Amino acid sequence: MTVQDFNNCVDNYSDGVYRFIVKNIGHEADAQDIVQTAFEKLWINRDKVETEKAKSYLFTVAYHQMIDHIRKDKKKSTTDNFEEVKAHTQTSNNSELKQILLRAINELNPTQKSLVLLKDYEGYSYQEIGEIMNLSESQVKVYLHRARLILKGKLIHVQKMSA
Amino acid sequence: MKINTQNYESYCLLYIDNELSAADRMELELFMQAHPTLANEFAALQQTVLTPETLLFEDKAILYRYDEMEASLPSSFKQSLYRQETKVVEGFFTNQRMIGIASIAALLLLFLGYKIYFTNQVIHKNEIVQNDNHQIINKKNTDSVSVKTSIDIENKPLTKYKSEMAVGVSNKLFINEKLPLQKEPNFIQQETKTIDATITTPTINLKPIETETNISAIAENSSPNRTENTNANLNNTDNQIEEEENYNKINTDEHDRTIYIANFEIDGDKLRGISRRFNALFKRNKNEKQK
Repeated sequence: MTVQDFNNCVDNYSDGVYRFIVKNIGHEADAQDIVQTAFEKLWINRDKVETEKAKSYLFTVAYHQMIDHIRKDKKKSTTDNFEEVKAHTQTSNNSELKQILLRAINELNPTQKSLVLLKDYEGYSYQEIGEIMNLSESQVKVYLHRARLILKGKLIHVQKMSA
Repeated sequence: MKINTQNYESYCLLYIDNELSAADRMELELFMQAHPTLANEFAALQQTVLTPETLLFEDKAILYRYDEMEASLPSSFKQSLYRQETKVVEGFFTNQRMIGIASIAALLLLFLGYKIYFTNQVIHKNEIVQNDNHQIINKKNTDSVSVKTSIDIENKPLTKYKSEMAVGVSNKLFINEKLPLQKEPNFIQQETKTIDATITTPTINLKPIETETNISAIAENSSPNRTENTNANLNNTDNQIEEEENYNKINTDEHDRTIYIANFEIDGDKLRGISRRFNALFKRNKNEKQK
């Protein structure tokens, strides 16, 4: 990987990695540190990592860094952090359904949350998600389907309560 | 048809995860159109999909890398900067041992230098004295002083007056060369006393200047021809004055006895005095043992 390739990776993937991390841990500064660490490791291993696999490598490193961060900082309230992040997002979709879904996602466990984020935000396949999260393809499928059903149940429950 | 009311949910989940083939997607859509009651559940599952948000990582500048960052020193230059620690092997010649050996060597050099210097000096003086003695023998009158000179040569005297006074005196006298010439009268007086004690006639009036006459008197007492010897002794006194003048030309008193070892200057006289004391001690011990 040349310097130019690396800088292209920064342009193309830094936002996605940052979004993935900040949606998971809900803390911008920590998310920036994790992203910086991921790119630092990519730079160190630039001779070993192919340019085509740089995105997957960055998400893999960032995911494991995030897991370490979550283990060290379990006391933080994910819900509060998510609301903090929500204020900084540039999304225009502020519908009630969206808010309910975001709250429901924050109630998932970290693995399920990561699966949903990687699938919906980044569009990774089951196989790619399995490589990033060190899971088998069938595990990704099962865990992700469970997460979807949980989210569906919460959405239906909220809609019934509001109705 | 693969999709039915038992497995439609998994197909719906695969559909929203975009994991179905185009044919399966079409089949599921047809299935949902055929089963409108299940379509609400399918719609609820589709609502669980997050729509991507735009979150920007603003500090991309800290992530960028530049060619200058790849600049590195060549490995050969790096190796020249490396430093290695070498273990110091303690050998036989440690600092303390070296100091000890050096001090012993210095003492040995000092001792050897002292010995060599003084032995050469003594040999040199003996040669001078022997040459002088040969001159004296040639000048002396053979009739009257033949007895004295024969005795002097046997005793190897150092100076003129000593050679003349050496009758019956041991070799110690010849080494005593530091006595000044001004003290000759006293010395001669003492020696004559010893001579008188050894020779049979003690009743001789000794005077410093009359050394030759005293000795001649001794000779008269010991020999029958007194009148002839007295005349010869008178002639000898004249010869002695001439010889004294010759001896005065050799200045043995103002001798530089300083020993130089490297930058050190050692007074030879003091060392000599110390060695004499040591010699005296050993001799004293020898005498005591012999006794």
